[in-house]
Amino acid sequence: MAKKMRITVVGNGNAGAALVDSLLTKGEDGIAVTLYGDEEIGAYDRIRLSEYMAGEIGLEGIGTRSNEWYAENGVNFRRGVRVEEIDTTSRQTKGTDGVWVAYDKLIFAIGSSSSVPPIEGRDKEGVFVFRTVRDVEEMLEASPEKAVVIGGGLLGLEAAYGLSTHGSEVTVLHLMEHLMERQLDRTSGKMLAREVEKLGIKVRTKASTEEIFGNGKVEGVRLETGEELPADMVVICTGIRPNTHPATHTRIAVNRGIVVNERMETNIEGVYAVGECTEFDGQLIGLVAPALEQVRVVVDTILGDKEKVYRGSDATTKLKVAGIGLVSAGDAYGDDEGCDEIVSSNPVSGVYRKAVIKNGKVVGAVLLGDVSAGAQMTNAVKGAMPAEEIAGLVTGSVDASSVPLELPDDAQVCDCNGVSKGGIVATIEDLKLKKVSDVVAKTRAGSSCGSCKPLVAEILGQTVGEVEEEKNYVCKCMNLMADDVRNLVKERKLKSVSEVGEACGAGKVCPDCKPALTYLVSSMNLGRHKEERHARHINDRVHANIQNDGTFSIVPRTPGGVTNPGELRRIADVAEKYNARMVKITGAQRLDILGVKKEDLPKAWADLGMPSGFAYTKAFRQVKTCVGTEFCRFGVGDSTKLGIEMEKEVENLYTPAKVKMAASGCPRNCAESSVKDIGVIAVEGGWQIYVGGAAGMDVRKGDVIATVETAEEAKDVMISFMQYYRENGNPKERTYDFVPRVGLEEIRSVILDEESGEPERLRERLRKEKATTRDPWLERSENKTKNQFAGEVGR
Amino acid sequence: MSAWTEVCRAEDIPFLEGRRVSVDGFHVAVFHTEEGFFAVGDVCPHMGGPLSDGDVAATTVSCPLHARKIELKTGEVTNDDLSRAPIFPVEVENGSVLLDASFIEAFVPACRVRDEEVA
Repeated sequence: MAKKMRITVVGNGNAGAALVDSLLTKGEDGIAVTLYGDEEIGAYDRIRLSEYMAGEIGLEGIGTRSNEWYAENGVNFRRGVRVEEIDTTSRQTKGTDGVWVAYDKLIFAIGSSSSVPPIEGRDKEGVFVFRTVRDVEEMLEASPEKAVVIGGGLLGLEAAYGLSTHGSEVTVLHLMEHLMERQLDRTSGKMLAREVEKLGIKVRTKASTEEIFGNGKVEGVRLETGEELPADMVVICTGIRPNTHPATHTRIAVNRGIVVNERMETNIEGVYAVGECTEFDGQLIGLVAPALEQVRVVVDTILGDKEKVYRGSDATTKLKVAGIGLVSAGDAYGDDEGCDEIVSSNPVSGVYRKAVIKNGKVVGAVLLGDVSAGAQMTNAVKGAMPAEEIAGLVTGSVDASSVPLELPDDAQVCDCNGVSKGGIVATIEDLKLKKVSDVVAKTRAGSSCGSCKPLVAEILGQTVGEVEEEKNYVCKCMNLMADDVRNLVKERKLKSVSEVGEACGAGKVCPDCKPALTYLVSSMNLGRHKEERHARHINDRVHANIQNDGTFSIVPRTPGGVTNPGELRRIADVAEKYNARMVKITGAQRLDILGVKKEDLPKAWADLGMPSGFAYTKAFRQVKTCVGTEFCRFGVGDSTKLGIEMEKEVENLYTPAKVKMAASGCPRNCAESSVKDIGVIAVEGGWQIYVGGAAGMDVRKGDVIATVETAEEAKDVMISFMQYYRENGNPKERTYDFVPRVGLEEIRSVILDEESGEPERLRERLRKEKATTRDPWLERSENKTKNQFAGEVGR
Repeated sequence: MSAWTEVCRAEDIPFLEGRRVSVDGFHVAVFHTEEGFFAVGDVCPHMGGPLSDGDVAATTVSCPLHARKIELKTGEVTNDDLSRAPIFPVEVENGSVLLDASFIEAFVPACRVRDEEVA
């Protein structure tokens, strides 16, 4: 057997982890990897630290790896060990554990550290930097009332955002005239400051910190002007400097960073470096994208394929700061001689778009608030494209989705069905297709999860020039939109799907739209419609979720995720009696009894004596809760009570698409309220309400639609929103599509304007419809159709 | 040679719905449509879903698992490139639904898959 190449990776941040992944994939069995990581935890995605801090994701969410992962992948992971000594002659490294490890190739990916300026008092208790999971945990543990963040760059703003979500009063001090001056011009920098202030974070620009004062512990910050800002925490985020420690005092060339060439080689054979610890052509890097590019280059270099080279960072930034989208590429200012600008600025909505033009070519771009044109704009800067091509994108007269992206023919477009761009183009040309739905039907691209449909539409546009217009039809056969059907039902007072069919043909020739029509006709009649079971899906004909083997699953309602010993015993008995294949705890804190035969459903429900949880249909599902003030020592509000009450208010109601809800008792947000269709979080002095969140096929953080003082007000807002969505959402349109489509402001203007009387009317209509509903599992003793639950009929 | 067998009563199957019947131990889905009664093997050609639990309009049934649409008159799958579902001649006489069981023999494999799984 050939001897394996021994590769030692020093550092386990973004670059180090990507390096290990890539080496394992490309090196296959020919390599043996040793990995040093001086943080106690496994590799994690440092750029998501702020989300971790804001409680939006947990440690799993930032991808920390377990010991088992390293063992399974054959990586010799030296956890918590720093490299202390390097012998480049005998090719060995010695860690803080005193062990020497031999290498054939050594790669530094040791990252950078916070660069702390020599501010008086920077060593006081309560002064932090924002760099590691441990920093975040210590900051949260300290849970300051007032915090000052020094530095208004990306890191500083994220630290501020994280602290403010935990209830701290935060002020950001920035030395320069506007925030993020490296990525943003003056106007967008100022606009960002206003947007950040809307989140409750104070921003002070041109603020120079003279001293951090306090008796041993931080008590405040004194500015150059003499002004004092009281604070019990100071976070210093003024920049980073490359880590070079184990390489210094060796023969390896170190300037500001470890000096590398275009193949990421240092001056010593067999020694390489990537990421924020490097210096290439006098350039340092501070972003993840160029670091990952360097990783690709170094892996190619080491494994022998020397084609890829690194040509320096193109200074493209694409990020979310404090939840606000931002793209910056090339020259953000356009201050040079001969530069022109195209600018579209709307300070009211917080949207700013700008292109910097030189000699007719695009040399810079800034997008803030609306980054839908991000891919096209950065492409334009990279390719120095003519200004005309992107002018419409900047002014907003052209929609970003209509401007093509250059993709190679072999690029996979649909991951579900493995369809390439080339395949799609060929099909479009062969069959002369003009409609997105036809392309989806013929190529299968976009037919499974649908997430690549916009890209398919874009490719169609590129191929045929003009795409035949297609609306969001409820009934494709009849080209009907949801609102067309709603109007028809209203004008002609239609009571059933059959009547809709007689009126316009929908649901007559093909079964696809029947469940959607049922929803529209029943909700328009506030539940006083004529029920036709053939117009509902099997799940709604037998009130259980059909499984891949034709059996069904049963999820009883346990409001707020609270159950009791009696219910649990009955669930256990039912599972045994009807030979359930599995009993599973669902993501919505419920119990799912899987693998029950259709004919056993009525008996199982009777044995359970619990109502249906509607887990099988497009309806309100469940309110996930945490234990709130009832038990939790951090509880701020009684989320369990609110959740259960809310569940009773809206149970048994059908909705355009499923509606998941959650109630959390404090901003730690254990019930994950910010990624639910409707969520509520107790904050000091009230409740914060989120809408339009999702954590499924799409992930979207909900929008805070309102913050109210009492639980009653919170319920009112949630019920108003629920009914507004029930009346205006398109069938199958989840709230995460509905809210952006309609616009948060528009929704607010309707459901929060109590003086207009409309919110109350929305709630009345919801209650009126709710009054017509009942637990569908009661149909066990009063069948709605002949042989409703029969496994088979006949002799 | 035909072998007409009564499989169920017409009123056993609600209008615009389907139900499963067993013929010689094989599962067959019988549908009550605007144009009368139709029967197909109760195994979707796609992934074996129970067509008898599908959604019906005109003479089409849509499989409850992945919405493959089967034209009941021909057994053709209209929205995917799949083999046909087996179809069986159906008659209604004096309120009873009769099916020509001689056709079952020809399609035994297509019907049996489902039967063995459930058994």
